[in-house]
Amino acid sequence: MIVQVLVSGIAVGGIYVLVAQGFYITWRTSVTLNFGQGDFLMFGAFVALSFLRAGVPVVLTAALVVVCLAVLGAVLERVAIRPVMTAGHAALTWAFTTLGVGVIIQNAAISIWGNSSQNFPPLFGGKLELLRIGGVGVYAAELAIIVLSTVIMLVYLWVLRRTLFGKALAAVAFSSDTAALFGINVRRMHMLAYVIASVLAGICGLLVGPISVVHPFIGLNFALKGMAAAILGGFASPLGIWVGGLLLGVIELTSNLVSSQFGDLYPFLVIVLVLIFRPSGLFAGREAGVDPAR
Amino acid sequence: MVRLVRVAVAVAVIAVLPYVFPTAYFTHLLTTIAYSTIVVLGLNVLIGFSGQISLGHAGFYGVGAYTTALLSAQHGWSLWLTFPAAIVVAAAAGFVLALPAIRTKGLYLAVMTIAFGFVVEILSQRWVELTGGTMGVYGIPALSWLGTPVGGVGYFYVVAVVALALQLLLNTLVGSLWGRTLTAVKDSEQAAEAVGIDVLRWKVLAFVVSAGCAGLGGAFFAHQNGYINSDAFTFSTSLFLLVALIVGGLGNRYGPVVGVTVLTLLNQLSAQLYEYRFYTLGVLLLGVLIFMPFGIAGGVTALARRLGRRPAPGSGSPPAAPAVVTAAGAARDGIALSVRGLMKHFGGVVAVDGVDVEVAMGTIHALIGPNGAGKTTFINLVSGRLVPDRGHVACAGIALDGTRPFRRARRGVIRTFQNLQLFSDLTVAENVSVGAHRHVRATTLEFAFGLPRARRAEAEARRRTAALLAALGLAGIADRRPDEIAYGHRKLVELGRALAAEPAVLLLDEPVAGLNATEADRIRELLARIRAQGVTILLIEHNMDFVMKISERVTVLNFGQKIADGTPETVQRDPVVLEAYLGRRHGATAAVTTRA
Repeated sequence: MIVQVLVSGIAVGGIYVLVAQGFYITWRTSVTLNFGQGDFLMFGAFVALSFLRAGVPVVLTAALVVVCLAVLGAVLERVAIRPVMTAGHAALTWAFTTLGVGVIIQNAAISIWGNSSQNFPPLFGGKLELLRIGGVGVYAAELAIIVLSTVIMLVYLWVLRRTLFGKALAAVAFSSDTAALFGINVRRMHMLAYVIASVLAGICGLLVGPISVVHPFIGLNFALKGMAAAILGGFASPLGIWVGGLLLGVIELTSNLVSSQFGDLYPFLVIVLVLIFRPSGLFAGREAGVDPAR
Repeated sequence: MVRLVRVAVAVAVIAVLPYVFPTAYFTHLLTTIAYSTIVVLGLNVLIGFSGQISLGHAGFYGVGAYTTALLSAQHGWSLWLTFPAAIVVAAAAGFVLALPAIRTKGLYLAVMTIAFGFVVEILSQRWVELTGGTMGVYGIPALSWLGTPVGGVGYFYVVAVVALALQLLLNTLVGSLWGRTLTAVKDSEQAAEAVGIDVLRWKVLAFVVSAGCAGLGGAFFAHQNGYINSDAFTFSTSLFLLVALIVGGLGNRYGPVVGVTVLTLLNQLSAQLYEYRFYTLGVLLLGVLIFMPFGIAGGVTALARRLGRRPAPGSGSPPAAPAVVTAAGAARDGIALSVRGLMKHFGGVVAVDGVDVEVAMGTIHALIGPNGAGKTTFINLVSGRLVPDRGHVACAGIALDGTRPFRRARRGVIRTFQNLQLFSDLTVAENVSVGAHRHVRATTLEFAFGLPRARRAEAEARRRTAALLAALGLAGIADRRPDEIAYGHRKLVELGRALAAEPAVLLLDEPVAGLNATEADRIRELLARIRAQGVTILLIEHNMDFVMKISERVTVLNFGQKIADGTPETVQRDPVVLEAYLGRRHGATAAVTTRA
């Protein structure tokens, strides 16, 4: 029982981690983020659902989701971020515009796919297929999430730390003016950060499909949990966010066990406590970084 | 008088409105507009004036509605008690929510507000024993007067009059020093703290006021139909309130009523388009923000300003030879500012390394040193913006250690900034008047009702501002905003704001950097006059000519350490100082030359 809760928690937490990394990467580069990130996740899930129902193989579906969401991310940056970052707009305007795009996507989903909950076909084997590992029953879909989200996180960290692109991103985060002087196209970096963020959200949509129902309003919940994970990591360290997100998933599943009526609320209690006692995140100081508050 | 006429017109409009279409449906719609306006008026204080964000205002609205519904329907409380209870409980929720979040980052508050809205939504749905869930609360008593229910039109009158009263109160508030203080907090927290504004307190205050308004609006909603359920307090309600404010005009006094009216009517007209309501909200949000960021009311205001005559600049002649500052009344001798063993390091770099400085009262003391010597860090440590690793700071014998910047400002330690921190949404005169904040004693309620203490504070700030603007030669541009005036003028505004605070110790971070010789001479003359009135000045400056001419004493820093301290003449000849500035060989030669 405990092991099962742990596995389910880590699987759900893996989703929160990926959503949170999307928040982190755009916040680092442009000090903005997508308040409609959850709706991007929902959109990714519906796109995947449509392709899978049409008989497109899983791998090709994943590729198509990535392409769709990449385009959506670029459009978001162009439509909702860039125009309002100029003088004459109030400081937090981007929060409202990204929210607006999210709401439009929500309505689009209602128009295209309807207002009701839909079930996802299994990606790998049956939905309730139990695998026996060391005497413990584990759902295949959850195991798939754990493996895939871990792989994605490792690639993501490698990109951030080892590639020239990751270094350029860090340079923009530290000082966009200086980065621009060194020939980095800051605008393109902002756009790329948004592309990465929405691709991550889209992949999450594909991954959560099999373990939850899909309807146009699932986004907010995931966005909030993703923010919670990012706050646990202090919006400063991808590793901290990774640990924070997994922790949040486990806490949520455990609290569901305790009280299914209000299980959703305990993660928020965790955020409030973190904000009061560890305002710069659980792992503040572990990683030298720019103060995200700037 | 004009104001009285306006109020009379507003009352007349309210009186006539229900009879334009005398149907129950239309009256219901008008009532909805009235209480939604109450909520959005509060939201405008928060987002428009204090620059904070709430994406979960339906939560406070819901808290207010459930408070009055449950107390009146299930516990039989009188509505005279449940309405105040609704306001208080919602405001308290705002306080509890804002306090931990505001201390961290603006973003976190936004996240907390969405989370709060979500929590209220979940609780109202699932805490069935308390809220009735989707079944809701029944039998909420209607408003009655002397035993008779007031009826649909009567209820509209009540709600509309309350909304009008709230509009008037908020108009008075945002038009007063109170509103300017809030705008200052929005524009630059650092500068606000530097003139003694408790930024944290003001941000929480804005949040509490806003949540209280939402609670009141929710209470009116609850008593409109005698029935509420969880459907009314979802994220889309928060979104509706937000879009209404933005469409009407963020930060415009009449944005709320305009936005709510437009959006409510739009919703009714397109009732058959219910399925596309999110498209409408989303497109409005994006379109308005990108193409008309000040909303409908903002657009009308701008148009009116363009059509109307500009007010004649400068009213009357300035008082002759005004005092720059009223005498601080402090003793003329003794130590104004004492710094002992001050130390601060960033990572492996020691920026300030055990520095002792004593600034004598009524003198000008300069702090000089090559770039990176730790001068600005020193000012930041003295003003309280940075916390030292070790060391003590005292002003006139009173220890300042461990106190926040606004407390130090209230003790009379006032600073200016090297990279100017003016309040960009305030005019030159308003920027200077906010400087007097530490002398204002009136409370929020006194400002809202225009009580004597608030009026006196206002008059006093106006008088002081006029005198300062005249002395600084800024009277001609008093109504301009900082981004419309020249750099030299901006520096003067920053100085004027600091002087409005009547400093005991004035910390100036590069007062003449970027100015031409004439302007620098003017500042020098001004500082001499300020000193003559008993103000102690500690300044950082690279312009050596300026420093040597004006200072009584000069302290030299290099790599965070004090390397010299004395009169301008001795410091100028000190070989260590010359070496720090010019390098070893040249320094030595130069020292020999000066001695010869």
